[in-house]
Amino acid sequence: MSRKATRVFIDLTPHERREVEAALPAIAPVSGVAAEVLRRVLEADPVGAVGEEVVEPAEAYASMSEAARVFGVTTQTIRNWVDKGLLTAHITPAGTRRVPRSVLERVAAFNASPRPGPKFSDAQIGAIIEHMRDE
Amino acid sequence: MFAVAVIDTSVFVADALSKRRTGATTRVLRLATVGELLVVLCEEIRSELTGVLARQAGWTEADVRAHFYTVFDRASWLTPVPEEPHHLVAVQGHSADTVVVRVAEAIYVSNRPDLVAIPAKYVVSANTRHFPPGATYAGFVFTTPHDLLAR
Repeated sequence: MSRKATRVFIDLTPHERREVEAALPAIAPVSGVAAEVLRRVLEADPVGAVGEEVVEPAEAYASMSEAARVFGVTTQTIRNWVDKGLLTAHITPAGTRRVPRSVLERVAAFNASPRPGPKFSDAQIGAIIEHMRDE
Repeated sequence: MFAVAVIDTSVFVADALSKRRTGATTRVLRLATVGELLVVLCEEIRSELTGVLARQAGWTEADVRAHFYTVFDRASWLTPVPEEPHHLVAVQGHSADTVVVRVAEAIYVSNRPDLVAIPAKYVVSANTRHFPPGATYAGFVFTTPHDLLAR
């Protein structure tokens, strides 16, 4: 490895592996370098490379109710989002939907990020949005 | 991937200034942090957002970057195409809004076949007067945060 190279470690799920494999033909004409990097990522995952499902620890996933708490919606909404493809989930052999904890950590980070200054009602925000490009 | 979406400044403004944390704008941005909604943005939108929040609530550029970091770092940042008369028509004659449709159009000229290939494309705005829900431009459907979540 050259001194300017960066060594990275990533978690690659079977689903992500399939997505990368499917996207490679489209990426190669755009950037041969990017395609080569992705090929190296796939080659570095010999378990996935032979087509075996990588079993991830149960604690890597959260329940629907925990996901609902973090997103601030009902569990039914989370199920709807998963079914529509808005949100990625893992389906257990028993058919239970589980949301990757890494997803919830990003949403929790957004929820916790500061929002300084005064807050407004929906009506006041509507007026601000209506005229924000007039100023 | 669920959809590619240009998120208008109004959505970020509504999230930043709202008393509530349960509104559709905030829920759309939460989804935008986790990748199934592929967000397209441009520096002009971020700059406008910073200006609006500075005037309305005293936010600094650092405040904007800190609060929206998880959205911004997942977004595709493109350069809007140059303005032409038809862009003005698309946004009901409001010249300051053309940046939104111009950055949407930019996916076709920015060597991003991954974005073009996603069938569902939306311009998400909280301003229904300038971006009437259901109207289309360059394959992008104008929608509100609420309607996007209901699709």
